[in-house]
Amino acid sequence: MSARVTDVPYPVLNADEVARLRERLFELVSARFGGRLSPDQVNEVREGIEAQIAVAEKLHGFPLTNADEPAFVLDLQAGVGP
Amino acid sequence: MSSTDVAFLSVRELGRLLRARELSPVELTRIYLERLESVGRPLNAVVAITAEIGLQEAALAEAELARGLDRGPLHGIPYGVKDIIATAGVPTTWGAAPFKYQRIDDDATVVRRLREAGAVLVAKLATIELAGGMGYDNPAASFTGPTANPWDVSTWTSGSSSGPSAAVAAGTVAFAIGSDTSGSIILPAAWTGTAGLRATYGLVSRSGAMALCWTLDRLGPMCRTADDCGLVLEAIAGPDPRDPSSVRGTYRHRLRPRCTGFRFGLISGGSEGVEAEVADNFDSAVEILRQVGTVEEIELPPLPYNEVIDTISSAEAYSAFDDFIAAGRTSELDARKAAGHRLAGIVLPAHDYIRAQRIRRRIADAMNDLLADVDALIAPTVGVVASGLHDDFEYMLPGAFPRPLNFASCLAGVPAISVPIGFGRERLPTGAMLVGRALGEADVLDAARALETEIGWGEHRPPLGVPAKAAAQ
Repeated sequence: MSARVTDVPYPVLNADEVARLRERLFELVSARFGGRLSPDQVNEVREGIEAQIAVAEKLHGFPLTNADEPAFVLDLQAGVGP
Repeated sequence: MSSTDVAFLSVRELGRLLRARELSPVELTRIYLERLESVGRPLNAVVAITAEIGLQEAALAEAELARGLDRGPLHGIPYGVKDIIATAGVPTTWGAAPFKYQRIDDDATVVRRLREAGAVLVAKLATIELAGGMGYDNPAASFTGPTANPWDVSTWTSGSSSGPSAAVAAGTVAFAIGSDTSGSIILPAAWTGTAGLRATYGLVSRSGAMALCWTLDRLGPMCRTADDCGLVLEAIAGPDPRDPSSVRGTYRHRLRPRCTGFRFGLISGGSEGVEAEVADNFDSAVEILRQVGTVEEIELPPLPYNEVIDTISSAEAYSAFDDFIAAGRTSELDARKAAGHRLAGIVLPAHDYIRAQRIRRRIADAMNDLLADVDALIAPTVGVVASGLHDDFEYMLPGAFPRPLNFASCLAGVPAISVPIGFGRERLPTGAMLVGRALGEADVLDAARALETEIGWGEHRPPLGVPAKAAAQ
C-alpha cells in the first residue's frame, strides 16, 4: 500500500551542478521573456532561481511513497460535473 | 456616549443599541462614513468609501428593523471589504495600479451573504497589490500607499489585509472581510490588536475574490473581538456552488460560549527567537488558558513547511497571473520586487509543484493527528511588534513571519485565529494564534473569547497620533 518506488535517495546536486543548472535556468527564463528583462528583474530572477533550486532540493530529500497523493482531488457528485 | 465611543463598540454591542433604538442604522453608518474620511483615509486604509451604497443599505435596514424584520446580529452594521473582493457598482482594484479602474459586474458571494444578513457596505479597504502575490518587501506595495498602524502611525499594519486591519483597529468600520493565503489575515491582526479569523479552507466562499493560490486562499472576518468574528462567520459561511473548494459545512455561533474543559497544545519552541515582550505576553496568555483548560506541550513535526508553501505559492500565483506576467505588466506594479520576483516560476517543474502538494497531504495528516487530542494549538502569532511604515523588510523575515504554526495551519486548511494578548515594545500590540480542527471554529472562537475577556483588550483604543503623518511621508 505504501511502497517506495526506489530505495535509492533522490540524487543531491553538487555545487558545480547547481551552478550549471542555475545558469541554464536563467537562460531559459531570459529567452522566455525575449531578453527584455531590466537589471532589477535580472537580479530578482537570479535570486528566484537560486531559491527555487534550494527549495526543490529540500523537497526532493523528503521521502514519499507511490501511494502519497497530492492534496487536491476532484470532488465529484453523481450527475454533477467537476 | 460620543460618536467615537460608538465607533469602537463591538458588533454585538452595536446590535444592542440598534435594537434598543438608541441609535439608528443610518446614524451609525454616518458615524463610520465620517471616520473613514477623517481617520481611515489618512491612514491609507481606504480605497473607496461606498457612501451611496452604505446609506441605501442602512436606510433599508432601518425600515426593516422598524417593522420588526430582524435579519440577525449584522443587521444595520457597517463593514468594509478588502479590495480584492468584488462589489458591483464600484471598482475592484486588487490594490494594484494596473487594475485601478477594473469593474466586476457581480458581487462576491461573501458580499451577497452580508447583504442578506442586513450588513451595510461602507468601504473597499486597502490591500497590498494583488494580495502580495507578485512579491513585496516594503509596505508601499499598493497604489494607495503604505497603510499606517493606528497604534503608532509611524509603523505598518503588516499585509496583505492591511486596510481591513487598520480600519477595524481605528474604529472606522464595525468589522471587515480580509483574505489570507499564507498569513494575510493573521499577521495584520496581531500587529493591529484586532481579532482575525482564517476560517477552515472552503468554509467561506471565495467566489468573486481575486484568486492568488487556489489551494490556499481563504476569506475571513477581521473584527475587534473574537466573538464578533463568530457573528460574522455565521453570516458568511456555507456551501456555494460558485466556488469548487466550498465545503458542505456551516457555522453556528454559540449563544453561550464554552468556558472550561479546553485542551490546548502549546507548540514547543514556539517562542524561540521572539521579542522578550512578545514572549512575556504569550506566557501570561498561556496562564490564562490554564484557568479554562489543560495545556500540554506539543512538538510540531519537523516537516518542510516553508518549502512546501513557497513552491505551491510560486506555481499557483504564476498560473493565476500567467497572462499578466507574460505581457510584461509586473513592471507596472508599485513594489520594486514585484517586477521580477515571480518570473522564475516559469521554470518551476510541474513535478516539483505536485511533490509539494504530496508532502502537503502528509503535513495535513500530521496536523490532524495533533489536533485529534486537543481543541487548539497555540503559539505567538508574530515574533516581533510592528515594523516601520517606510522600512524595507527582508522577504519572509526570520523570527517574524514564518512561524511554523502559521504555515502548518495554512497548508492543513484548518482554522486559525489571532487575538491580542497585550502590548509589546513601544506600546504596540502583540498577538497569540489558536489553531483548531477543520470546521472546529466553535471551540477555537470560544477559547479566544475566554482569553480576550480575561485580558480585557477591549478597554484599549489606539491613540491614532497624527494620522495625516502616514500619508504625508
